[in-house]
Amino acid sequence: MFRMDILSEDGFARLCKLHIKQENLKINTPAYILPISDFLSKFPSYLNLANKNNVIYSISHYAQHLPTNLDHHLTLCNENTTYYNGVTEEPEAYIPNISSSPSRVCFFFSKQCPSIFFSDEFAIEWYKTFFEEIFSEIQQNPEKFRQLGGFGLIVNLQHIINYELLEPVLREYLDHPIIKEHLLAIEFQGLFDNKLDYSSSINFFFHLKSLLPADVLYIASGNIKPYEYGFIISLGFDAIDLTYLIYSGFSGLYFHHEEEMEWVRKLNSEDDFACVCEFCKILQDNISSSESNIISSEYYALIALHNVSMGLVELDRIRNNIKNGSISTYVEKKSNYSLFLLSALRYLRKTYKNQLTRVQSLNKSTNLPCTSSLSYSNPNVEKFRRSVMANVEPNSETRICIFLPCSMVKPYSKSKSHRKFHKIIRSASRKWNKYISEVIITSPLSLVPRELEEVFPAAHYDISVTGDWDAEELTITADGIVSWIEKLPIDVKLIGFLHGGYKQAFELALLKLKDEKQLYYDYSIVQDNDSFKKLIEESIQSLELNHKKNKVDSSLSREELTIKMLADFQLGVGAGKILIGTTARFLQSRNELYKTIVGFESYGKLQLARYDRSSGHIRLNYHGGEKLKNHSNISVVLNTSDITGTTIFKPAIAKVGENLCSGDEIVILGPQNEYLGIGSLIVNSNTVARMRRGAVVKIRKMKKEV
Amino acid sequence: MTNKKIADLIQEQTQHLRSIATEKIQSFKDRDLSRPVTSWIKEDRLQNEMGYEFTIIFRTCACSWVRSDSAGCTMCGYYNDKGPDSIPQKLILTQMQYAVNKHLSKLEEIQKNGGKTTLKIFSSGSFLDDEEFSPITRLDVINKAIKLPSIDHVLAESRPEFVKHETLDPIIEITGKGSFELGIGMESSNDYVRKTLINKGFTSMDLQHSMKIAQNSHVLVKTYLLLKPPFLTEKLAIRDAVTSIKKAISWGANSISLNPVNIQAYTLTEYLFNNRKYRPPWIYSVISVFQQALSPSIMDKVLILCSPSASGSFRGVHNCHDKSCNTRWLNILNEFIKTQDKKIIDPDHLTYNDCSCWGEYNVFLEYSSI
Repeated sequence: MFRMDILSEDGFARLCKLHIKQENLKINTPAYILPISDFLSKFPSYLNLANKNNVIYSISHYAQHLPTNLDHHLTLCNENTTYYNGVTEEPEAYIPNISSSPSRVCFFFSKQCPSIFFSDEFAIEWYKTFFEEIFSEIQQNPEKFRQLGGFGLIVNLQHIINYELLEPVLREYLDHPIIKEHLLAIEFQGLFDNKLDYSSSINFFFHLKSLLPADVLYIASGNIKPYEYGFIISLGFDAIDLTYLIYSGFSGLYFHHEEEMEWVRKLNSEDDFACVCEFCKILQDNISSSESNIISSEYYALIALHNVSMGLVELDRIRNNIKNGSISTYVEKKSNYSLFLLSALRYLRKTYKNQLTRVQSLNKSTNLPCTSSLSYSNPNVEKFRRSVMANVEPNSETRICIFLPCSMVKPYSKSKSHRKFHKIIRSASRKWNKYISEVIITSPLSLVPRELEEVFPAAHYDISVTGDWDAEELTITADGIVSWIEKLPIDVKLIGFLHGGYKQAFELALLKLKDEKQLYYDYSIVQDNDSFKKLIEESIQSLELNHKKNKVDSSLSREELTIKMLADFQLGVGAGKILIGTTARFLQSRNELYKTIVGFESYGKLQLARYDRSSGHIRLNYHGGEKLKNHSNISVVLNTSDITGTTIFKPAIAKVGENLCSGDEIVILGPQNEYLGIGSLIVNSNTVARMRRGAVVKIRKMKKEV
Repeated sequence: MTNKKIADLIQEQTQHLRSIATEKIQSFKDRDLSRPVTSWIKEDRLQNEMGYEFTIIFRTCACSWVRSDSAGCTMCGYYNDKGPDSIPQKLILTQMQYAVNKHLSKLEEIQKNGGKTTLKIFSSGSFLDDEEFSPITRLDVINKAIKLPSIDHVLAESRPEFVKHETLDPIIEITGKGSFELGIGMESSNDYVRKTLINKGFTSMDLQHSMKIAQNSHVLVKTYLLLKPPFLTEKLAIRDAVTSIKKAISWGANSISLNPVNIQAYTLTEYLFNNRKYRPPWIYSVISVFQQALSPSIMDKVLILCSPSASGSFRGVHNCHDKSCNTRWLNILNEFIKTQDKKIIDPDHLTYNDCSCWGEYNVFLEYSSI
């Protein structure tokens, strides 16, 4: 039977690999499920549609004749139809009666009779019967069940009105040890059929998912349109069943690119088929040649094939977006196509804000276009804002804090305007430069300290600028500024080179400080270079007067400050200080994308970490990890110190630091909390608890055996 | 298993809908009890040849099963035609006289042309139920029937619990052996489907027992099978019907009538249909059942019938929106019933691809839950 490995996660979305060892088969998710029936097998182009790396077939009878080219591929078999539950008839079995099941077939337990529910109460009774029948059959036939090597489950949610009534019943049964131990795949059938009540579907899925193992193939089926795939996969589904597309096609519903669809009887001209797929070409020829072909079932089959190819393209794009780490922006884009989807995404981002932020990895370097107000709550953006607020401390020596507007070119310091700012600040501040800190005000990131300007998403986001800021932007930004100013000494001089929305946000922040916290700051706002320079010079003069000349200078250097802020941002408060130790500095690598962070201790020079300038991510080296071994919450504790290979699997894990994400740097500790090495997490730390097997940590460097 | 609870819920829902029907019926003006619900004469397939059927649907106090607490079957809406709870028995004979007067000339014409007619006595209940037809009325009806021109065969319907030697023997004495046929609503050979999903209320054992009694009394047995009861998918429904046909033959049925469900008022099927949780069967399915279930040896032994109500409409057996598609396939079906020639529905000779709905049907069959 197949084994499922999670390769990486981005938020709730994930990339997995299904292995079938005996067949030497590997399938990547997000996958699609293509139904195979005798009827559909008659269309050779249908069978050729599938990309072998991403397809899973589904059949409804084990004995069904599979086309030869589909042999040896992962096949889900929804064999049984249990309904002979009568008095004189023996009940049909859930466990198929076959001597040995081939490893490529995963059997699903489902009940097709009664096939629908007329009320939620009926559904609840149905489910009780269903699960009790399954469990009792398994208990009576342990040997037969063992031979299956695991099973799939179909949860039929078509026609369910109130998910809240059904949820406790399902929770009770899905919590069963048999399910926890042997479940391989679960299909939520019709979960997204009711577009008006997306919020209930989301809650229902998350509540049940939290009970189920993580290394289970989550399948969504039912009335799902291609533009919804991204959203559904971003919730944590691994596969989409394409039956709906086929059925729509055969009923004459033609899916255009993106959101539109149209009944084929209304598509009367060649131009209506705005698609270049092979099937649309034939459709176009047909439409121009004769009228009579248009109602034949072969013609409708072409529409079905076109629809499927549309779905496949969509899933390919989603897979790429997860790989790049841009699934959240992709889903934002797609939400423009349907109001229901938009509501769903807004609900998700609002209700599950904390959970989403917690699992959002920032170790990436993809572009982050902020296209709508939805982007304000993009988990990448939210995580950045939160990390800056919670983890990053400004230079404690700051006497003057300069607030600057953002620029289109990223990182900011590369832009023309910021080069100019830099020149002015340097020439005006002279040797007092170290008492000045710069922050950049921007929407929707709120505030970016100069030191973090290369970090994702500060150097990767983009937003359309009109000069007008909406109320939400202003509030979000002002909150960020408030939290930053509060961390500065009370006698700090605030200088803003700001205009328009930037100015409004800055003033709103100061007003908040005044009204809500009774904190008064000395601030000035300028809008031209000359007065900017003058203002800095004046501030420096008053700084000179007040500064005690013979104070011993123990502060961090500029470089150390950057290292400290980067490390704090990424690894939590205090990490920077521990990492730097006595003193540390950057060393430019030959490749200009990287810098090495080198520490200098009394016993010599240590390579602590590598800084990736394209993502702003710090990759710890062995010595860097050793320094951080006691730093809270970035460690993975193992229950054995006997580790070989480059991967640590679930059974060896004793404890994982909380709220870590896939791709995060971690320190590997042994059973007695002794330092073993460093690596990065493959899955989110809250996924680890739900895993039964599979890789958790990718080791970078381990302590050599003594 | 807790299947009982599911059966109870189905029954409760049926009861609820039946109570709405009862209210509705009471609001109707008094029905004319001296006339039957309806009556007609039309061409029909007889045991060995084509002939005619003379159908009278009597208005009685309704089927005993629907009168009971069980509220009747989930797809049956004939309750809506019921008369008051007690009907003077002489009115039943008046109803018959009314129908006979109406169609007498036609019957005489058929006799003149040498045709044969079957009289079908329906009440949407049980002819053998003393509450509906008292023993005296029953024999009066039969006596009248056999004296009518061209009638050589009488068919009546009954639930199995009323099938007794003491009821049947007097009838056979009048009609003679082999001229009286009893229709029994077997619906399915599967007890779960019949008892729980259809709420029919009797088991296969009861049914087989009654069929034995009828056969011993030299009564021909016609079994009605239901295609696509509620809560079965199209595919399961086909499977169920195929199995049921085979079982019905092995239990001794002389003829089998396959009835695709049509949506009748105030029934559970209508409730499901209105909520888009039920679709009446496709005509393709009816054909498919016959293709799968019938072998030449069966065709020699048993008469296969199918005259679906509301066929071609949304509430009855239908394929797609296209009228010509429905008509074409219903014609094929009728032709098969008329000739009893299985070649007509041989899949190799049928052209399926003409209508766009053939593809839809195949995908629906495999993947739809309604």
